[in-house]
Amino acid sequence: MAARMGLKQKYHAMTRDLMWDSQEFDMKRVYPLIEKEGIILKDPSRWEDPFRMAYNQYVKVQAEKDLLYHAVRNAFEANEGHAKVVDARWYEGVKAFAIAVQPAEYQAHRLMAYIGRNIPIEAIRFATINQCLDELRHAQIEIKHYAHMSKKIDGLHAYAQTNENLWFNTVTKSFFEDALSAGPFEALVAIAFSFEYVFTNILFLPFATSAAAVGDDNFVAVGKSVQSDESRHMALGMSALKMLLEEDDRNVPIIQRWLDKWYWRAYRIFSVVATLIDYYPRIRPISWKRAFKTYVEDQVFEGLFKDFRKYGIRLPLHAEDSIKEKEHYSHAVMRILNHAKHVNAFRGFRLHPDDYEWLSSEYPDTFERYYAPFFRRMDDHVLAVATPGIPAICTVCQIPLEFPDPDNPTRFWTQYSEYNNKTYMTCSPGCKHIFEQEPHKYAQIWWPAEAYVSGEFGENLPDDLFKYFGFAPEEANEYYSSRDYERWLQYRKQLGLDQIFTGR
Amino acid sequence: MPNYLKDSNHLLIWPVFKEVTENDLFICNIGVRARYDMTGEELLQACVDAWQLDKDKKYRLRLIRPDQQVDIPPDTVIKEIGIRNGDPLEIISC
Repeated sequence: MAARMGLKQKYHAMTRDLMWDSQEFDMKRVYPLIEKEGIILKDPSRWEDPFRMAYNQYVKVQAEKDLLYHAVRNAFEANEGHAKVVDARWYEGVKAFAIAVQPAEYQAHRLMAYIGRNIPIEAIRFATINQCLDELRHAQIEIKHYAHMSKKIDGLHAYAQTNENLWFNTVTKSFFEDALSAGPFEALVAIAFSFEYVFTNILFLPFATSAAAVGDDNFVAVGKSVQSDESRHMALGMSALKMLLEEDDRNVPIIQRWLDKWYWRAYRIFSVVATLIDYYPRIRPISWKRAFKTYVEDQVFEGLFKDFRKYGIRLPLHAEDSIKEKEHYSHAVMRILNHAKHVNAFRGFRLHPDDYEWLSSEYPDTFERYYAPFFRRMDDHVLAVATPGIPAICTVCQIPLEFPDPDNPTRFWTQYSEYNNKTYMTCSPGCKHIFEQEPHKYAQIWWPAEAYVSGEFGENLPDDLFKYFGFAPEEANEYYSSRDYERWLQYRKQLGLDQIFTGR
Repeated sequence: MPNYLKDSNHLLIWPVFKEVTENDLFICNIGVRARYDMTGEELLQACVDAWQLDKDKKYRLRLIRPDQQVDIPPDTVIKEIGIRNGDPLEIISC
């Protein structure tokens, strides 16, 4: 029977026609969140998943991707690929990726399951099932590689524990817990549009290009495999957003409010990506500033949001702040990471003359003037820039409150809000706006800085924290003075890679 | 689980040495334990210790609130000044 069906019929039979309405139970009890957010749906069944992929096709395509990826990974691991990169400080950035992005992938799978469960629209439900499985696949393929890399490098030995407990990872967790505790339509805008559509290109394309430049073939394969799914996720995000906007005009101000919030939330969670592009690779194909201009300003603000004007949607409220901050973002975040590198699972590092040269040429108006003096302080002592205590973090994004005001880069951008007889600090006007829209939500956060100082993990700070984080103090701090660097040199020596060959 | 804040006389304050917010170091507020029965001077000393500042120099402490900044008098108990758990403070060189 199925063989006589056309493609469209087959797709409907294998996806949308599997949906049913409950006759035994009140639909409002089955889908209790569907009317809670004020979104009005008139005829959502006309909406189509832009990829129209049935499950059997999905499994076939994903299996092929996995086979390709694991072939590259196997070759990389068998042939000591990690010893062949141009400078293994790159792996400190890969560790950052491991701790920030892989848990995000896992959390995203939970989020897509939540959205699919609570929105009874066939096409959205099927697309979110696919994406839910994609996110698990992304987390798994990289974790498999980290299991191998933990034999070679520090910081990943107790991967699950480190992901669960390290202060750095509360940034990722707070984003996804915020989305998971929102309604399903808001969660859809948060993940499918703001996170996937706006920002995943800037995550996987420049970082994978950097991986290719430094010689990390494994990560190139990860980037390609993952990004091939992201393009489908981006299409879902765009299509779902248009559907919500077209269903009813009264949805527009609700969507605008969510775009204002989740643009800035996603932008802040991607802050570490700026350092993965500008600092960790010794050879950089592109800067954060250029990548942001291409992938966010040109493609999203100038392209997509122009199309949204017809619905009455404007740019996210703090878009202009992110444009101004692109001259500072990677430097400010690298400075934060260096303040706390002695308690982090991935290391900071001293810059080399070629680093200063590249950063100065890419950021002629900001790097030398505002940031180079900070990095030069580490030339004599790697801990010369360490914070003397546990730093305060933003109540919303949970990043230490160390962002400079891009209009006045020698001043902190920290904002203060009063709620329920307490002062709350946020890192920027964008996070302050988010806090003040829902102070009751953010006032409930588990604030790791406060938990540490109040002694929940021991009295001897920061030493007592390492057991909880799952790594040792020797696995932290500065890369070029670390045992990882010494080991990497030894690996290269054993492989004969320390030799320099020249022509006659 | 032990928690310093379980004692009703205890609070955490978040001082920052103003100087490092104005140079390239750019380090932010850090967490310090305090007690509501401390004087402003005792609180200042706790902040100076936490920041490992030169004790031969003189400093003053300022409370930061969204709508105002208040100099902390040295002789008054901080509960009377109205300092609350979670308050950000600035340490300023005199």
